[in-house]
Amino acid sequence: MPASRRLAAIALILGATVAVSLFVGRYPGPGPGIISPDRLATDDLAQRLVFNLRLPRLLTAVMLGMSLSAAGAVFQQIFANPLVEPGFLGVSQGAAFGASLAIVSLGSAAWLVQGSAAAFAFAGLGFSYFLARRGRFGGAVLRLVFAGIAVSALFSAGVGALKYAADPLSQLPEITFWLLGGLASVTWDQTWSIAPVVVASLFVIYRMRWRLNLLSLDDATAFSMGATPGRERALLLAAAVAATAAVVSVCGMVGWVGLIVPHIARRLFGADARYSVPAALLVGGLFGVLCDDVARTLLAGEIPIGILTSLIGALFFLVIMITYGHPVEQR
Amino acid sequence: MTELLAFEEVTFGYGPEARPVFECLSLGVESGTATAILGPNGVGKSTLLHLALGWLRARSGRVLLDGRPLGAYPRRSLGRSMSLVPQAERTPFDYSVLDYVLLARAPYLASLAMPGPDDERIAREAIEEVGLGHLCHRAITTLSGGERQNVLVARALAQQPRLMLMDEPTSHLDLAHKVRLIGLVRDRIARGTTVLLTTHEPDVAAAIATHLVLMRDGQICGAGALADVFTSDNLSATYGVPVQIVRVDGRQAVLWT
Repeated sequence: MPASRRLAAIALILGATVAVSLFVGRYPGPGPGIISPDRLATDDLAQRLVFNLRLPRLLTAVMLGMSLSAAGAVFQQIFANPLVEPGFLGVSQGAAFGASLAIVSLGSAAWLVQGSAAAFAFAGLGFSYFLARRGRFGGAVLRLVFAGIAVSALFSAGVGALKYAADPLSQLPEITFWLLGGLASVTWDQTWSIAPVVVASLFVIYRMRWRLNLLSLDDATAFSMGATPGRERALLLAAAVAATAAVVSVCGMVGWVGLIVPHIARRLFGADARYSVPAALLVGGLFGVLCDDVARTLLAGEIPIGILTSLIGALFFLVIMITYGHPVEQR
Repeated sequence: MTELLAFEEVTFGYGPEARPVFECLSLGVESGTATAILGPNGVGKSTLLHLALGWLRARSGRVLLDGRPLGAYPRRSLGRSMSLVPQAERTPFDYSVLDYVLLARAPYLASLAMPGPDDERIAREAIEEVGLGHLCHRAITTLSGGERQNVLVARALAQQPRLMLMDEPTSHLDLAHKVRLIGLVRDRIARGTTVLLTTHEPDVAAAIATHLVLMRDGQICGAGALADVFTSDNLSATYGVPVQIVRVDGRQAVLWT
């Protein structure tokens, strides 16, 4: 099957999964927790549940998976390193620090935690970029990697200090819960507050995806092909971080998605970003929805989604690694 | 003959305080010629190519393409004028040979456009030309060092440049591939492409080049037509080892003693 047909097939699966997920979940009353279409048409409570709670949550789960996966693909291509993820460059640890700081010192209003997490995520990137520019050794990419590691370590030390200082009965559980990630409290307000940033950033990444192939080469080589590596890299990284910061600010820390989904996409569609980036978007969205479905339906209580993404992601990845080949011939 | 590429009193060093790699270096490359830069390791041959590319900027002096400073060209048009065959290139991703060579079409495409059927045809022709047609869909990470180097050459050809910069293009090639590449480059020169290459193999320089530049200690210690510069005395001085040039059937080879 040609790549475009296979992409369309995954898109269909994603749409169908979102549609089915709307009807699945905890609901008071008889039956195994599935709302039938009949009931949706007549039951007022069911309507409110589906359209005011589940729909925004599902859309956010799709945005979460898409953003982390696309951002992961961008980071991996730009750093020519399949082991980096969008939290790299101090972004994840910055967001964690921002959220913890808000919980400990500003109170736990959702918008404060969200704003503070997003602000510190960008501060992490900005700080890393600044340090990399001041660095006096190695190439631009190596300096960025080192700066990102150092900034992440600083912020994670800060998170540790805040956890130590936090009230163990009220604040610490909240920090821990945020660090594990979850979409239980997502409302339409939050979905709308991140949607413009996410959609715009993903659009930039999608349209510039072929350039990612160029940027994965040495800077001098990319330059020889008429590219402007510094500027294009900064633009794509900014888009990736904006999308990541937006979803993380609402959903908390969700690990592994940004690391493994790009790998899965490349294994299914080959390394060429023309196909691997759309594949990462679709597989990521699907992955986000499925993980959130499990998080909200498996047990009577919510399971933090970060635990699930790591568990399911790692297992899924192992299966893909062992079974599937990709279109490029290997010896 | 007009000078396609010219260095005018170029001084360059890595970093503002570092000792300059070159001082006041001047050099011209005439259109339709092949110039080989010959010299010992670490003399700055690759740096010179990166300056010619415009990737590195001279501390003082100018680098001109067709009489205009490199900085005056839009990025894309410079990408259409010259291509680079880097010494070695690593990528962790399994691009197919075709995808990889297609990247060379970037300067011909609008900033958000993807390569089309014409670009693919040009890329396939370039891959055929270096003799890797049967490997079009193989992952580049599975190729041998020599095959990879040929992929880099194919990519530079697919860029359809007027000036090809080649950094040690034969360093990973076995004898058969070396002969093939030399033939390919000579064929390109015959069709009007200008070539500036670095090499530490005098034999390769003698086989490809029409002009020769000898470098030592950041200085050009000899430049001109191959016949004038390619002498035992010059090469001995360049490498600091006594060498002797022997002629067999009209070909030249270097023996060291």
